[in-house]
Amino acid sequence: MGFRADLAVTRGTFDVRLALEAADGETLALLGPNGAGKTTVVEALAGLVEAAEGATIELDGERIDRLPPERRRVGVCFQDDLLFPHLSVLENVAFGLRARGTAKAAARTRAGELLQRFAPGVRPGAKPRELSGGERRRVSLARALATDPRLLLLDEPLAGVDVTARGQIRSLLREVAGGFDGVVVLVAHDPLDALTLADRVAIMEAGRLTQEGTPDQIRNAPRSPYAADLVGVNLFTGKLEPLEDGAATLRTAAGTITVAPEGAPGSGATAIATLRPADVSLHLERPEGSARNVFEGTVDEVAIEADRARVRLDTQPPLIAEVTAGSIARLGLAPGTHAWASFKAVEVSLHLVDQAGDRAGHPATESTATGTLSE
Amino acid sequence: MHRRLPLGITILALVGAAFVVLPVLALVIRAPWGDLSTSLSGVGATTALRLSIEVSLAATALSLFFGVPLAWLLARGTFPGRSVLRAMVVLPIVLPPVVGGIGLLNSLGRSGVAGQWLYDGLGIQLTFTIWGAIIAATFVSMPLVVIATEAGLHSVDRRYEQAATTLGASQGLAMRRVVFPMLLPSIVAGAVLTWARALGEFGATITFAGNLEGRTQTLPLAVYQARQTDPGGAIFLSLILVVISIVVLVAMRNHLMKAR
Repeated sequence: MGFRADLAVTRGTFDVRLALEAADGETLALLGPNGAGKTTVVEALAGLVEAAEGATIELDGERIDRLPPERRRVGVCFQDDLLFPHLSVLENVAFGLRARGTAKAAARTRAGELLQRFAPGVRPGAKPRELSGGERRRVSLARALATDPRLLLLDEPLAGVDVTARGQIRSLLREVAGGFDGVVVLVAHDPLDALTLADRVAIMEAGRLTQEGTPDQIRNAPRSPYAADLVGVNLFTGKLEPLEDGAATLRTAAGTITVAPEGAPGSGATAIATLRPADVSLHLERPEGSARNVFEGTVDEVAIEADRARVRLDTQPPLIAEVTAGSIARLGLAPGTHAWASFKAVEVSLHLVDQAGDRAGHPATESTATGTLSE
Repeated sequence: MHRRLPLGITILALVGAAFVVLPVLALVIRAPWGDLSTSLSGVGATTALRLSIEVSLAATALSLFFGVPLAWLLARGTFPGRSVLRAMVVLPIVLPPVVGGIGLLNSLGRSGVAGQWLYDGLGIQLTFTIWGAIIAATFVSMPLVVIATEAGLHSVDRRYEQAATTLGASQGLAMRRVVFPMLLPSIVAGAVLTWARALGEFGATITFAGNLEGRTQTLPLAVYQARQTDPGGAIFLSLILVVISIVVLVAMRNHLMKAR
């Protein structure tokens, strides 16, 4: 059945007006800069802020916009977790079950199972202040899922988690989103999370949707400078194969690139790699130099926006490059032009999804070759 | 490195400390310890002590029972005149207690605004009964619970309540299971201060409830009376108050340290 929302919220001089829709089993990422109103959307969907006249929210074919939060079946994983400080981890997870009338013993048993699954390393009797950021996030996820919500809202689920735990939380989120039978709305400002976890991405700026589509659609044709900056990245998914000199190749379905992993990933590890279009150079002839990735192809599309242009090439794998409008004119680039694209291996950000041989559900490690995407 | 404080500060601090400590010390020094037992029985110490404990505990209970909801109303309610009400509620702290006593006489006394209705209609008389002493103590001490609880409520992030409601808790359940436990240290601190204030209450009590031995004569009132007839007994009664207060202050300090 899924969910459909036609939201209108006014907060002082700021107002949020947007329509969202998602089917059961779908993960919708809500992506936008700070102050775009993403958290307001979460609060409105959960019933924590009053929606303006005319707003409607439908979940499983039922209007929920006039219901109080406790009757909405909307689970929220808050940005700062909001675990109850006076309750143990187990009591936190059992809280929702108890509130909905489950007997104490049954609630504790169920909460114990959820903790075992989501936060196996956490002592059930521990107080939230004893946990690390990553552990708190795990408990918070278990707590939100304990009451079997039909709509799961994840507000910046990787914020406040330190870099070393981020890869594991990301895998956990992938597992949760994949196995959830309702709708997941994931709020993020890190495009990698949106692009890799979501079936569809909605981009929000200043309280309005500016673009919506599949990650591929948005990556290939971002409609605003913000979307282009953040989401308009080259994304590759494939298997890593280490090379003798410390570099590695990433074999994707549509071609192979050379990357520079940190550490030594196992042969055959699955990885997601991103590359900023601005890091891709364009040439009319085969370039000589240090770049290890050189691809030949024809220009598919040139989109000029102010003084910058995004160029799509049909190389193997396909690439998006961002150059100045002046370069377009100087090189005479137009659809059909034969061109060369190059980038350095170290400019590719690499995120390991799975170590070779590891089964899904095991904690994955992560290495980042060139720092994070969003800064 | 342990650094010495400037001499001037040390001297002023010691004078300040002596100013507080000396009167208490003087009580110990001047107490006619030889007449301890006769003196204590002569001034009715046991009765006054029992009455003081009963009155102060009852006043604390009443203050909590009405003061916590009142703090909740002040912290979370939205209604016109809230700031005026807040000022009125804490007024007894700055008001001379005897003024409070006169106010109580004129409101709840036998011929008071509401008291005459209580007396004529229901036959209830508060003045010159233990209930009068309890009401007088509650009047002066309840603001301390209200202030502590309201400050505590402002420091509890309302989003914990919201998180509880998204988990299926009604507003009432969120208050009981989430907000109230987080608020408890503030309430306890307020309750201890309230109790201490009620224990020492004098002016409103003697004005409203009178000074009747065995009925409204709490320890402070007994001290006041003994001062004229038996100065030695007054010192012993005072020392009882001093000891109780010190024990409670130390216990509370430990409790607050633990809560932190």
